[in-house]
Amino acid sequence: MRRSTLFVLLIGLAAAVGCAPHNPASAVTRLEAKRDAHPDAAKTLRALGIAYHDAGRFADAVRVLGRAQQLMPSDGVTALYLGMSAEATGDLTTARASYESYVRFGRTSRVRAQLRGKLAALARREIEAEAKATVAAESKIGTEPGSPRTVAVLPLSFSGTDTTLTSLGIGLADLMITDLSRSAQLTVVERDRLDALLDEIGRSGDGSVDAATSVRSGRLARAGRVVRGSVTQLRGSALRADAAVVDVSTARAGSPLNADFTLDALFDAEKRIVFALFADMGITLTPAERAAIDLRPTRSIAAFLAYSGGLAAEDSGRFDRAAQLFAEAARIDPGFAAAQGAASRAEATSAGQAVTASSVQGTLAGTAEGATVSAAQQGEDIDGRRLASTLGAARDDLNPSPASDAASTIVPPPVKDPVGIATGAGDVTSTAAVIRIKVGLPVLP
Amino acid sequence: MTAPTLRIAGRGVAIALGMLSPLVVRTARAQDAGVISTRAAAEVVSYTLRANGREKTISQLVTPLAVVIPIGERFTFDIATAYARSRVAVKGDSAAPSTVSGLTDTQLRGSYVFGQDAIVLTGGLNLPTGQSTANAKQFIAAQSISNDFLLFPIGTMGAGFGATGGIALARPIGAWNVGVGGSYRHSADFAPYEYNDGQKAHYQPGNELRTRIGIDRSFGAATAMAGVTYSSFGDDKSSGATFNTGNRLVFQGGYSATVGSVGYSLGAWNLTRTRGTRADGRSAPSENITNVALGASFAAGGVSLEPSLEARHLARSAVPAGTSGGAASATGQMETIGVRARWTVSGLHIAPSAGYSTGKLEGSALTGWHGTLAVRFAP
Repeated sequence: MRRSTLFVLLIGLAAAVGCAPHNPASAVTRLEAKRDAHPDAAKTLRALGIAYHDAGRFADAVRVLGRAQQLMPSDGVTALYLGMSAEATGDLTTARASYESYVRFGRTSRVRAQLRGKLAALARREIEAEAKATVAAESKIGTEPGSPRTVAVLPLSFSGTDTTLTSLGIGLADLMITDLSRSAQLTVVERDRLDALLDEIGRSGDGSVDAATSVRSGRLARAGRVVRGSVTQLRGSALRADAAVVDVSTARAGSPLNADFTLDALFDAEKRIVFALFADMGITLTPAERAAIDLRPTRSIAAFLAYSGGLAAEDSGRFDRAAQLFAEAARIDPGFAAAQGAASRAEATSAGQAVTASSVQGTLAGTAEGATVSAAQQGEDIDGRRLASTLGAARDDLNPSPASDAASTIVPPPVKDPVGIATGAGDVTSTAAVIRIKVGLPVLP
Repeated sequence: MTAPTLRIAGRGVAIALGMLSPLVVRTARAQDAGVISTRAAAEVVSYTLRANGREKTISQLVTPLAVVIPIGERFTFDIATAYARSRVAVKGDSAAPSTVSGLTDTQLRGSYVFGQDAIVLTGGLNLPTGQSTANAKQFIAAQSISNDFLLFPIGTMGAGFGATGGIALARPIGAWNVGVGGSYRHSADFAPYEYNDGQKAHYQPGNELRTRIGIDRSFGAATAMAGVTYSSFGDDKSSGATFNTGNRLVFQGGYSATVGSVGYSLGAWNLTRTRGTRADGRSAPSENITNVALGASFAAGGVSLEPSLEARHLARSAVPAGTSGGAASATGQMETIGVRARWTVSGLHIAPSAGYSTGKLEGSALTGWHGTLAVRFAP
């Protein structure tokens, strides 16, 4: 056979590879029969779980993939499909654990990157689901308030004509949460969690929180105290911040605390209010805590306003916009650590929101793990890495390299040497090698 | 004549550098996506042939180095070279031992995987960094290490520039995986020998077309594989003479299984080289070599201990009488007992091994031994 003809045939074979049809129902039937014959065969369970997922039988997929994961706790494909199936059933806790397992054990780096974003988005969804569940179980919580040492800080409302300051109340509340958290004597409710609760129980049209809702949100968050307040634009750059501590058990507000300031003295005013809040709650700060609270997150008001805008965008679920604003804040002040972290978080969440089961499957296509999935879709429980091994063996035989992963203790067969049998070389029993090579290689003219 | 440098990828270097499983674990992609692995070893091999009161010892020290660099999910690049020192000494011979030493050629290889591990395209270059030319004093050592039966870790110090391109395909058919492929290799002219007057004998190896089909499958905790490779060679040319070494057909098979905590492996290959034509016009002999090996793997306390037994047999046809005399048919047989240990410390895989061989080759009594310390670092 001519060599060129042989290569044409090889290319033709290449084109024919991977053309088998995909029928989820027949794959399920075939793999269920295999599972019935070998109930604890981990790869069969994995393949069946993938087939169930593709057939839309997510609960069945969670069941068999859960068992497969018990048998193969380090298998990335099992973790991935368990996560996707659990997410489809609304079991976000299992989904999160499974995606984290894939990030640890999975072999496809682009899927790992997708799932890191997915985990950030999932964290948000988990908080929302938790808020929904908390509100649904509100009657069981009763009227007993949380510990007075647990504090919830509501976003400060804003009133004024300067639209660039609209998000300032959200930013100030975030700063106050950070500062109040410095005290070891207080537990401060996370901003995301409180925001999800407020979304669930409803706020007024302008995003502000009325007194009754404040108390209700505090009770749902198991907080004994709620800090609420407002920022008011007076004239020009003159501003006033008001805050008060509300006792959740009595719904009574404490003494109003306020500070008049200009925008460039924003952080000084916030610190004054925070120290007054500590005093109002009877908290004595240690010198170290006081020093930590005295720190400014940024010296740039512009950066802080951009950061506040990012928080507002994040609260409304616009993570791509939030990522832009956080990045802008970090650009204005590269030392603004909170903005840097928030930018990464929002970017990951934004990317994670776009990650779907089909986009993950698309990324997986063409990889070794994708081969495992593809085999399962054909009703086979073959490990994709075995196929990679088949291909690797062929490659190493056709184009050998000392760097190959040929791990055999068995000596492989020899290949042709440069001055081999045609010249009589390689004859180790002869002592007349030089004479023989002179015969083998004609003397030059 | 072709594919000279492929010999460097043969036996010992692969053994010294490959440290993963008892039988065969090879993938077209990097074992760990994105992880660069570096492998190095020190290996000593020595064989002694005794006949009619004469004692000839052929020994080789090899320190191979290889780096595997995965780039993304689909592309893998590797580079490998070695330092080797080979020596042939005849006891009682007044002549000084023949020695050849230095860096060997360097192999670069890149592979790109298409589809779902369906196709791999592979290309390789042999860079002539080794000493491809031997003088009269070095030639006995240079030729002895290329012996197909003894299979020294480095079969040639250097063989000029070469390039290989190939394609392989794999897909599951039922419970079996099937891989097929072909490769083509072109080697540039080089000078394997320098005469005493300083002139060099030039040598243009013929091109090689290699085709392969292999199958493998799992049976629970066991794995079986088989493959056949056929290499056809173009004519070699040297100073106006044309000759041919004959084509090669290699059958390989293996089976490995784990029972409890003990792994077992059985592997075998058979090489048939057809008759060729020597430079002096006589028929080059055909050759058949069979190798069977049995291995086990015991794991205890983080260390894997792997004893092995190996048997090899050679049958070579006669060489017709000519201007330099003929040669009778020849046989050889060798049995080797060996052991390897393997363990891992902080990403460093360590594998010392040793073995002892005994047998006969063309009427000479044969004994030999080898020792290796191989390490692989993959953080």
